[in-house]
Amino acid sequence: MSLDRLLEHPAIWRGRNAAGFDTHPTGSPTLDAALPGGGWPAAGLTEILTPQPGLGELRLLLPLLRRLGASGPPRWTVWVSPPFEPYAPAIVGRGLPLERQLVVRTREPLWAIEQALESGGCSQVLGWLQTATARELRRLQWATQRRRLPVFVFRDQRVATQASPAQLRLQLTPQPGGAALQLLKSRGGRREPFVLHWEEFDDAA
Amino acid sequence: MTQHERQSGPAAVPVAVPATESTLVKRRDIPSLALANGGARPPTPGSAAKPRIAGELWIALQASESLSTRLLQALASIAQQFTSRVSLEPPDAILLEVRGSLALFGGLQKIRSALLERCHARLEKTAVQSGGMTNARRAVTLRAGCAPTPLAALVLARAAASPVVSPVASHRQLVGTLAPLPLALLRWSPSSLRRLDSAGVQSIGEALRLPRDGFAKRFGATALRDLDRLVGKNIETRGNFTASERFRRRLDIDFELVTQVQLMSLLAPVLAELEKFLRTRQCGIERVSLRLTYRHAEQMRVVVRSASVTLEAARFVSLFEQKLARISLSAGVTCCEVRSSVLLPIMLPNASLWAAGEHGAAAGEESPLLVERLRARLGDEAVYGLCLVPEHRPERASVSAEPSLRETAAKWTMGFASMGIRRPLWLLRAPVAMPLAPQGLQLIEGPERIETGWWDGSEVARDYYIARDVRGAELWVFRERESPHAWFLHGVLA
Repeated sequence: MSLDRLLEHPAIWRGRNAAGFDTHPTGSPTLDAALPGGGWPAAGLTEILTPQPGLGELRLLLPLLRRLGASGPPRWTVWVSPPFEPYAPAIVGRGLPLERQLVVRTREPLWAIEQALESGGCSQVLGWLQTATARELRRLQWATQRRRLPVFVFRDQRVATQASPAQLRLQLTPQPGGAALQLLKSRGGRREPFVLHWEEFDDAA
Repeated sequence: MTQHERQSGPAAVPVAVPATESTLVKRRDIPSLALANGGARPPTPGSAAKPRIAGELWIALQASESLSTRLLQALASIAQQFTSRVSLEPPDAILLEVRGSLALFGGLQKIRSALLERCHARLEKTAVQSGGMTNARRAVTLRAGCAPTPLAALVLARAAASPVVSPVASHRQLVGTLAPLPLALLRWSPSSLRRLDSAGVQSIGEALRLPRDGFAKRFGATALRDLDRLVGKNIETRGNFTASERFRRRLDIDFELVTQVQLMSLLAPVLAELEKFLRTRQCGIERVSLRLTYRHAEQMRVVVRSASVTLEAARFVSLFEQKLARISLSAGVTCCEVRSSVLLPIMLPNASLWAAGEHGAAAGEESPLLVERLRARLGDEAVYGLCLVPEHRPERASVSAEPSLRETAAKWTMGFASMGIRRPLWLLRAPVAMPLAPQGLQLIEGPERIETGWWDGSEVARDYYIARDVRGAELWVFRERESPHAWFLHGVLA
């Protein structure tokens, strides 16, 4: 086991890194370099904005879902109001532990996300939000900080102009074979848009 | 004597006592044997010349067909109104020992008729409840048999005519009654009955007349032991039936409750009492039901269900809070009753030093807790896990399942990835028809032909493609092989 792999273990605390908060590697060198702290925030609210659901926003997170979902004691990966049905053969095919996925269908996704965070029984939460006020999101951000868990919410890119208390906010636009990303809000990440190729992720998988 | 009888309960060690002269003489020195004898007075050395039957009197209730375990237990609890010594004889009979109850209830005949009457009433109640089964249920009848040994009582109950062997039946009287009855009533295996039949032995009397050694050699020691038990040469000890416990508490309220908060303040102490009740028994439950009676005598039932077996009052309190918050009380509540489900044994967990999820601590109880809290508010169907089904039709390969963190063995689709076949991460609930010529769609992979299911009426014959639309989303689309070759959207690759 190489030192890098060893240091990836979630139970290892590496002291303060440059960004001032813990991160999880994304599985893609380009994305790691662009994000503050070199990866997804280990605790906090990340907002991903897309023109429509299903454009690769989940593909972006697959390495993280695999890593957090499969390691450690059995805990849920919670999917709150996903736009379609998660398809079991694909989930197994991409190496996610099927038995740890929990789907929640509700018209009150914010309540469900907060419950999931407060329970301590899940490793990460994915939520698809139609409407959410800045105040509600601040409450979520606060809960993620307190329970030290990553929460990813997916929203339509029309809300890009609204203020958001999220720790990290990025916009995804699909491109052939990849996606164009722009960090709308981050604590010291890359400012200009950049292109990500899916091959990088597939290598990591 | 009665004291002895009470003691010879389930704790009594099963002791086979061959009722030969020498053993009976020894009994005086071994008190436990005297107890196994149902409290029979130890014989004086001089009077021990003849084998005696233990001073027991058994009633067997034999149903005309197999009964469910639940119904059998219901009958057994009726029988417990007459004696504490009741045992089940699944699938269709119960046995009770009534020697000690004869004086109290006024004789064997009275006990027998009261027992039959109450049990028949219970069976009829079940028949009425089960509705459509009425005709079938009405056919269930019970027959009683009385004898000094349990097996003889059963045999007499099974034989259509059941003469009551008087409580003081001697060995010879018992044998005389049993002798003409067919051996089949003992319910031995068909093969041994056939062999006995071919040897010309058809009745119990004929079997009893055979030499013991030869009988044991040819038909087995078990059969011989049955015969010994039948006539009381061998004492049979039977475990007592104990009714399963439930928690039930009814609160009659002097005033009317109109708000949920009032109701919860009343309910919380009862649930705390429930926890105490469960903790002393090291048991947990899955469900608690609450029955509310309104002022106008209408009733409402509220059931909360925990995702795992538990005994914690706090969990049920929060579940009731969630559930009651969504229910409006239509009138003042004047009475409420809390009932538990069946008690299940539970291993009380050790508390962890760390909070769940902290420093890699196990999730423990929190994971089921999350599921049940979400379900209490959103309903059971809204929270689910996923399950893989080995099925080629894409819409049937993934089904929603009861959430459990247990690892499943189904890993067969791992093969897809190695074969270079991609499956969409998102599937639409039903395929959506697309315009005939999918303009702007660029087919990038495929076709993959899926043609199956002709045997169960929902045949599919489709060519699947991965397509990219104008916005760059990768879609999973298919074209029907049948004319008019319509295009459908079935999934999104993500």
